[in-house]
Amino acid sequence: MFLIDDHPPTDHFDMSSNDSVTSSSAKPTRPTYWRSLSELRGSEEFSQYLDREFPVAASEFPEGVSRRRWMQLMGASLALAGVSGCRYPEENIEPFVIRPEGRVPGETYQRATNFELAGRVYNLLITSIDGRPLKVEPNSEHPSGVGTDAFSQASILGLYDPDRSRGDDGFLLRKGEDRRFPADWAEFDQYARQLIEAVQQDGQGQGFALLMPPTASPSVVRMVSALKARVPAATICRYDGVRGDVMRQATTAVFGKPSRQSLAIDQADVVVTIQADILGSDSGMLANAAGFAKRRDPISGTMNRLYVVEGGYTSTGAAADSRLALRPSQMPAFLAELERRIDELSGGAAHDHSQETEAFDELEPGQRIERFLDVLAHDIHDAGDKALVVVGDHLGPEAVAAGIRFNHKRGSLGKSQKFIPIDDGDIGETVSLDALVEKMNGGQINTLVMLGNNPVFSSPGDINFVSALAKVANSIYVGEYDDETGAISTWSIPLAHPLESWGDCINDQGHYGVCQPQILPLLGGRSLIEILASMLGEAESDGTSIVRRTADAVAGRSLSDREWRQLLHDGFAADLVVAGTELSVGGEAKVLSAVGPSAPAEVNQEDIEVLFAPADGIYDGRFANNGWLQEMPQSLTKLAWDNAAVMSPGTAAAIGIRHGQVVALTVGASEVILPVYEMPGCAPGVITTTIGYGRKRAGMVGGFEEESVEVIGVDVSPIRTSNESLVAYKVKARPRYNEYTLATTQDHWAIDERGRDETESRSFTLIREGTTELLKQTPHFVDAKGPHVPDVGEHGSLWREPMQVIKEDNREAGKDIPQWGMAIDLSKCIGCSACVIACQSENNIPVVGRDLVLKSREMHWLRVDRYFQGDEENADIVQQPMACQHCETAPCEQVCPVAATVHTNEGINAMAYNRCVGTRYCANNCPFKVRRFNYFNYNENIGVGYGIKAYAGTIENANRKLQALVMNPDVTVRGRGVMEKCTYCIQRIENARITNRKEGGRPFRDGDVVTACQSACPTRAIEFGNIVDETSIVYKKREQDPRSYGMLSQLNVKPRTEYLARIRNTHSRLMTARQREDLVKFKDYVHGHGAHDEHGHGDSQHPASESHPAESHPTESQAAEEVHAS
Amino acid sequence: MQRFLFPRWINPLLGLLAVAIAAGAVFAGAMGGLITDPKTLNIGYEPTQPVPFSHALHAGQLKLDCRYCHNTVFDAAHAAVPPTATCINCHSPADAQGVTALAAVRADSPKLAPVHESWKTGRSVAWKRVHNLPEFVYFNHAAHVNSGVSCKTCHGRIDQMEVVYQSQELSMAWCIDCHRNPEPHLRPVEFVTKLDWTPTSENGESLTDLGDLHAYGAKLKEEKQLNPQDHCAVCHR
Repeated sequence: MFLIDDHPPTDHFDMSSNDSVTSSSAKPTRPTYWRSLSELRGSEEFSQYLDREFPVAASEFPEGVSRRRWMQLMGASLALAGVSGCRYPEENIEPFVIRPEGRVPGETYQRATNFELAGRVYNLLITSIDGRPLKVEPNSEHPSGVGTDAFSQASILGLYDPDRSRGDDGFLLRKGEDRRFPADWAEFDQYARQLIEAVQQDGQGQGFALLMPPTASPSVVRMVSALKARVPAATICRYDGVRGDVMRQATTAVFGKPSRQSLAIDQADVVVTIQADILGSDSGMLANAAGFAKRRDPISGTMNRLYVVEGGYTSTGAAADSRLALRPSQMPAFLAELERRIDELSGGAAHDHSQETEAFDELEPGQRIERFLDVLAHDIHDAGDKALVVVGDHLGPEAVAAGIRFNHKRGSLGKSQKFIPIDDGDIGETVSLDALVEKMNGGQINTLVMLGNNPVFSSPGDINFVSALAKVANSIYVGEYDDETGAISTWSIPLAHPLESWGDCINDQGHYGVCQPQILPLLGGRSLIEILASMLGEAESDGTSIVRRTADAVAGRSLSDREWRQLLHDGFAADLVVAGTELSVGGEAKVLSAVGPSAPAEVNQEDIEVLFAPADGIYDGRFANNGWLQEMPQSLTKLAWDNAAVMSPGTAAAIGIRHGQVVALTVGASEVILPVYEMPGCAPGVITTTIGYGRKRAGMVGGFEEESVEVIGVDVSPIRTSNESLVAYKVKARPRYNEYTLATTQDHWAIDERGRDETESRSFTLIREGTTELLKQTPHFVDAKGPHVPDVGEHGSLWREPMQVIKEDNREAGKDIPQWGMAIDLSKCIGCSACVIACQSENNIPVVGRDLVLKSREMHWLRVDRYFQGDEENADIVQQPMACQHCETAPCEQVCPVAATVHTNEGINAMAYNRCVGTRYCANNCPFKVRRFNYFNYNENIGVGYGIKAYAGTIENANRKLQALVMNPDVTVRGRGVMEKCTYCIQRIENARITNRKEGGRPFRDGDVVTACQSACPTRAIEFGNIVDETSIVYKKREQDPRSYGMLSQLNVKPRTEYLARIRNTHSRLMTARQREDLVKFKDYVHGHGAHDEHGHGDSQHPASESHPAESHPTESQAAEEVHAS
Repeated sequence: MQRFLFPRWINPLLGLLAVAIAAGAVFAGAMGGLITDPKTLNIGYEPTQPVPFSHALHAGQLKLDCRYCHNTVFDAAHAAVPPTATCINCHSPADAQGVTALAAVRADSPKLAPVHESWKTGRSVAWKRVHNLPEFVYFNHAAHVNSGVSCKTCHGRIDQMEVVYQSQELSMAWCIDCHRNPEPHLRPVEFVTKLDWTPTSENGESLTDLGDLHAYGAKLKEEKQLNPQDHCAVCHR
């Protein structure tokens, strides 16, 4: 038996003998898994995050609030405390005069809606209370709608953004000679109709142009078609500020008509992505993630294999089974070479690989590409039509087309990769943005209508949209914000938020869905189709009838009132699916490259390749004024409120720069100066950066130069070009020696597992991962990787532990009391942060702003920890969602002097905010660092989120009150001096209990309680439920899946949240040295009783031996079979 | 400068001072303790309502069920205060021709003026809140009435009140008392809104013995599987 604590494994294993591994407690070891390079290098900066709860000087008051202001605030609160004395303030109850039918005051209800946001189509349920939208949930009954992401979750905050442009009280803006004048809708309608008529008479609209984003809405397409019919000579420009036109060109080349891609990842056994972030920024991310998760069940399902070839690090790369960092310029050659090799294999070529001894990560870069290509060719060849190649838009239309042809040739086109013609194909011929700008500059356009997208900010650097716009006599900008474009247009027209508008959309699977307003426009905006209809002078100008007419057209018949209501109620209709015409592959295939890919000998600072990606939070800048999305740590860099030039340490060294300094990137005469972020695993000579930052007119949160609100991040568009908007080649990089402090949360809340000298050498077991081979060989490798701890509690020690007492009491009283717990599957988690925003939305978590993030004071209850493993140039990533673990023997409870944090008899570590006196002992004693302290009254005085007094003395003060409507009335809004943390969504548990009581007091069933994070997750990685109910999913995951482990079991805290180990389905030839070591090291591991009891979730009612299929296994192989069969 | 010293004749007064301080402390403590006691503070709070609506008349004499007006009590956290339309069902105002649309019980009574005003203008009647819990307490009516806790337990004999006042202290200790010992407050769900109901034994006799009452409640508790919780998170979220 291999006893872990007798032979603490260190970073460097001696493969020949386990016994020779010795502990080296004297000197600090390099961690196996690390959060950042500063941890890997053991810098002092990191150790302060590890050893202290908050870094030094974190308790200073934030800058920007003077001491005088502080004294005022304190004085005011003291004065209030005096007068508000004895009784609560008198309250009025003002009921409806006529209560709407079916309305229950104070109770939440859900309504279905579907809308498009940032290029993604969402099928959602919106939870509202008293007519006020509150929370976004996925429409779980929708046949193809799955999960949510951060954008859709945060859209609720966008709804209550007081900085949106307004249409009420004459706030529409019309540009005059020297300043802008307010106007109203009637004025605009009259102007617009006259304008269209004038344009129509002037050569059928020759001088008229429409600039629109790609759209999935058939109603918008219908309106634009109507416009086109009125002014046939008009120029229509379709403009996607993020991806450009690549997919359109590629599909036109292959199929003859523009189409959009929809992937069925679960249908493929081998998936290869080449610079395609299918699980990250891709517009089909939600469906892709769901498909991916279906094939990530190593115990009861089958695993497919994900190969990722990419330049920077993306979420897809982090989820990969094998990843190859490659310069984008080499990728077309990689694809061509791959095709040649598969052809060779089909021709009967055979290779002998028995001589390979080195692990994948020990190879030289050139050999690594070689081995990766070879394994990939074999795998794809073997998978037949179950192999899928996805080429990203970064590589240009030719490469994307080559990818589609590749799948066509292998037979997976139409199976795991499908294309449906684009809905806006009906509009007819469109031009690109540079063609439009050329016409504008040539004076051919006198009227321009822009439907959102903020082209002044989002257009690439080689297009001077501002000067072109100045040459247009009449310009109308329709947008949610009066942004950079709105400010210089003749008219700035307020667009209603998707939650306030009528509309419709067709998702990637062809399902038609209606967007129905959840609330009347708060700021007087109008929906896009209503604005277009009224400009055209259509008889039908109200949103409902426009959409209903479109729905009729989509159905091909007139929908009855009943069918229409059903469509609105369900959010979909089974028969309203746009199938799309059959597409046939035509055209000529081009050979991308005659030679194979190569690895550069060294990084040349004259030849840097820059990849552009939309930001995880603010996308292309359109969500810049959304505090939740600005503060959400981006999935891999963990940057909040900042963008950076992300590069590998090797690239940084070659440029002569390091983390936190500043680099200048030059293309031709354009220069962008960015802070440097060193990130392991990026290809040499490749820099990744995010677009969307540097907005100068976003709002009071996202930066507003006129109002002296700090601009956030750096605008990188100067070095983007309209031809290749996602990548720039041959970029010069030069160091600038000024420093910049990036707001990154990567080191914050670092869990100190070392416990100082004594255990410093122990293995890092917060993250446990393995390969499918390891799982098959040693099903309980997870226990082997954890520390061995002696039996305590029920089976081991003399004393009874708190939860044991509660459980026994319940049993004696015959009470059927649920015990709540959670299981998080690390194999499924793709680190998209939807859960982080869902939690923020559900639990009224404040936004603290950049200054306080720098002081490690972000308030997120749920964070996604990202760990690297490997070396600086070549590292794997594992992501781990981390919230309160609800330890059964919670260390926080034992140190609270006022019993403000106590256990419930259902196993929840509850917080009574009113008892909390703010000693912060609990946070100091929490080994997981999940407790957050309200240093300030974030909701009123500080921060940028819901702070109603954040801009004292200005008109903003009153406006900010609108933002407070986003608060969930079911959760207490915490004030200053109070500790808070994850509650397992206690409000949802209590509501479920009451619902059960209303239904006659039935016991809890699976699905009664769905936590906010669980519901938001697009991959179903999070399961929550009753861990003593043997039929519940969470019970099965925790008790029957051998991958299950609790963190820090050596502390005997018995967390209620358990993790299922990350399993990579890595090909044996591509295994890293560490993965190989594991196979050897755990070969003889026998899973015994001692190792099991460390979990501490054994219960005498449910003896562990019954629940564990492999408990009494005689041999390893049998155990493996048993586990796989279960 | 010379230090200031109290003159000698002050000394006899020191004892008096000590007595005064001690008495003051007792007085302040007693006053502080008493006036901040929920019993003193809460019970009997009786604000004047905009409409002199009499529960004693409607619920007591006319025997309207509580749920005629407070109809969401079994479904929702709030036992909603009725919309003006509910009042108008019986007290419909007369129009210019003197015709009333619905039943017009005492339609010309001046006491009904605010209700008619609300009906005409569409503005809500601003009722004064009597039973008010702090914002951090999440009380749910549905959970309680569905478990068989009568309106009476917390609101007293509303059906005998001319003007509604607070009859119970509604403090945390008071809540917990019942959560720990719910038996005396339980009744079959169908009698929850019947405020004058008393438990009867199987042969129809009214139960008066405390032990019997307790047994009656215990039986209901057992039948309905009631486990009132007394941890923080039940009410504080």
